[in-house]
Amino acid sequence: MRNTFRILPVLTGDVSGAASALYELGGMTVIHDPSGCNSTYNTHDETRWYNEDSLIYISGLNDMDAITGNDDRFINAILDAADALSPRFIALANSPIPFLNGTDFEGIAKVITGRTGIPCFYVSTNATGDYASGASKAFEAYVRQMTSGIDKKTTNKTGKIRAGIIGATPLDFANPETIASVVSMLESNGFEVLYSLAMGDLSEGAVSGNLVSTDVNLVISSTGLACAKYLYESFGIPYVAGFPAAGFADTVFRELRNAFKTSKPCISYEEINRNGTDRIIAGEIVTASSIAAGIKKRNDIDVRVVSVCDSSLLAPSGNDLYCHREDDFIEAFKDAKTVIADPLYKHVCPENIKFIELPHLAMSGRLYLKKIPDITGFDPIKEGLL
Amino acid sequence: MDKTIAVKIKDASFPAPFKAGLEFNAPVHGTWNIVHIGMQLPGSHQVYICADNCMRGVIMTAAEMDMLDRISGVVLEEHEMVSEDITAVTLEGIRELLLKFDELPPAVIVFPVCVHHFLNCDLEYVYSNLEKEFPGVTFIRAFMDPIMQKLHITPEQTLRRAMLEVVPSSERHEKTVNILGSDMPLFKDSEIFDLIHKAGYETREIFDTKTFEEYMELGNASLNICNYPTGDLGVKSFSERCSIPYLYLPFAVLPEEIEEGERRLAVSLGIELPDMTDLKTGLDNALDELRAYIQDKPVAIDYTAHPRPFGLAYLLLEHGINVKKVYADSVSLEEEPAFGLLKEKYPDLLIEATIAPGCRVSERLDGDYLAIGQKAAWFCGTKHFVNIIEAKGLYGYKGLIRLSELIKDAYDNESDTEDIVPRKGLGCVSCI
Repeated sequence: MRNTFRILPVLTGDVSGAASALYELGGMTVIHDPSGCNSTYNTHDETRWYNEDSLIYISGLNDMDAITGNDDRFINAILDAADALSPRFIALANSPIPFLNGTDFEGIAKVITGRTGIPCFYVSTNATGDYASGASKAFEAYVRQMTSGIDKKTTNKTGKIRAGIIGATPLDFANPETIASVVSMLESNGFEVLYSLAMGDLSEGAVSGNLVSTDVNLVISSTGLACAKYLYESFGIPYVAGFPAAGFADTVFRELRNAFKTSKPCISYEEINRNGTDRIIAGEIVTASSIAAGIKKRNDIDVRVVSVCDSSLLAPSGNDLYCHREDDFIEAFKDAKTVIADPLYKHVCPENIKFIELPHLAMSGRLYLKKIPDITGFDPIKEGLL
Repeated sequence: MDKTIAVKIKDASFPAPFKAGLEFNAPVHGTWNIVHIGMQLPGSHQVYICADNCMRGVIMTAAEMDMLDRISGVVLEEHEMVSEDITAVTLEGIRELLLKFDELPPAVIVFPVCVHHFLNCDLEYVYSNLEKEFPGVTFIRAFMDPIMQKLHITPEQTLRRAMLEVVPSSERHEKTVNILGSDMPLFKDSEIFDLIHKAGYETREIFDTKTFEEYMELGNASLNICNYPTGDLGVKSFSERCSIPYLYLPFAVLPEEIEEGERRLAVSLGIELPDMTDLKTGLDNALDELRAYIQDKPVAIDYTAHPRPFGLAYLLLEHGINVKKVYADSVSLEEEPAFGLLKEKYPDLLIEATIAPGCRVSERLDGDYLAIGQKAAWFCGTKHFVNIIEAKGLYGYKGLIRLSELIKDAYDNESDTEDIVPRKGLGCVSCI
């Protein structure tokens, strides 16, 4: 069976995910692509494009350069732009044709670094992955680059537990109030937030020194997990994967404090056992699982999670599912009585179910942008789950 | 002045005023893409065979048009591109998709992509098998292959041609003139319609065909006209195949070219060209009135608003209107005469780029401008703009008189630029 989509859109792709992750970090992201990658991304999947400048470009690859392996035009175009715009770093993203012809991006990145003095790194997208995969690779590549050669954490002077937020992009948190709320909740629970990787007021804090100075990291989406693992393995900074959803925030903060004490990472929502299959929440795995865990804790209602993001980043736990193909979703929803999901999933749900809308930019783009809530305040019980 | 994004026309080279490099994409999306164009074919269903990231843009275009039921995709996965036979993947994918339909559409527009060229997909094998298995479906051979567009033809040109390739020729030629190849209905008050009707002909545009069957009767016309540059290839090819006389009548803005086009049309219709003096005077008066009304208001024009932005700039400047900038990354070969005239008479006119890297960070705070076109509006940061693409079908003297009224209206009234220009496909349904 081939991967066919009769009516559902596909999720935002990996190239867009990479661009979204790096948007606020002051660099220049270049997608080696003929046309379309940038337009698709900035039209449907980027809420900041109209008013907030970020250096994201395509190369405008043509067939002859692809066939003859002429990388000079690509390199020279980047050198010209870097010279004029002085980005903090340069990220190179791949697309199908350069992927198929084996373009040596690692080599090109070295050439560019050598000739500009600007850190340049490769984000190994190829347009076949989903946004979570692309954002994950971008966050990890960025952090590896920015922490290269650094081997110490700075001393904690405030006495508060210093936290970083990892995995923040509008693709999962399109309502900017969400990240502001997460920061505020952390602070009111005694944490000092050094950075948000990478959106919101604290995205500017995601610089080398801060990246290695936190005591603990909060991974709020699967896009941040690989990066958090790297920081744990390289700098001993433990992480907690979880989102402070209604009914679950206390658990997340408790686990963060535990992680600080024990230096052990954890997936916070896995401690809440859930069963049942007729109530479903579909979406990004960390946020959806945290919402489901909150419902279980507060109301003892079982909600099954259908993760829509690359399962190699974070596999579903217990009774939960990962769906990638349209047919998978049809199968997952066919016996459901209630579904909490992006409104476009209604197209593949049975007609007589209760559907609670939770728009997801990575699914419906800007179609329901104005309806995307601050997810910390999203309460399915109030929305009619009971 | 940063010469990578702005150059005076006296210093600009033709047809490429700016050095090619990385490309920026402004948050301005009123122009139509292949999804919008394909949706004009009544009853058709679009199928794209591509990787996730490429699929996303086309499906979401349809979603914003509230037309998800008219588009589907076969997602190419990494292992399929690397290790499998792309011909088999493509054929099986489309076949599996069509088997999901309760009722098959009469026409399926198939869009293979760049990788199909590079992996040597045998598309004729794909189509011949599909046609055998689904005999009631007409398969339209389009492409979404932007990797070819710089050195060959664009996906848009390919699609416009493919949509007409399936129309059968007819032995019966009605007294009908087809006006094809553009996305905006031609301005019905234009003198071009007076000429056609005076000669006893009816007109028909793609928008007038309400069913696939009606669309398939386009081959029974007596004359085909195309006004839009990217439609020329397809309409010309269609005309030759169906032995229908063909006229390319571009959106001319200079009086000599307008009259030359209408003279050619009159000859084709077998009538005398009426005296155009009153119309020409009418346009001159309208532009003089516009000049008096907007006085020295600075004006910027972009290439998405009109296929002849340089010609339009020249026309307005000749009537004393203060055109300061033309936003265009290249100059169409059709515009070489206007480019030369501007260089000679208005050497300080600025050409500004829209895709050069520096355009991302250029100042966009000069709200004093009156813009013609969405891109000019965004780059100038103005709320006073003429919200049109593709000349809005404003053909001929009367079309330009109407354009002068729209400019005046934009001068008088503000628009919500931030709400309007990011919407895709001006004139289509927009659900955002």
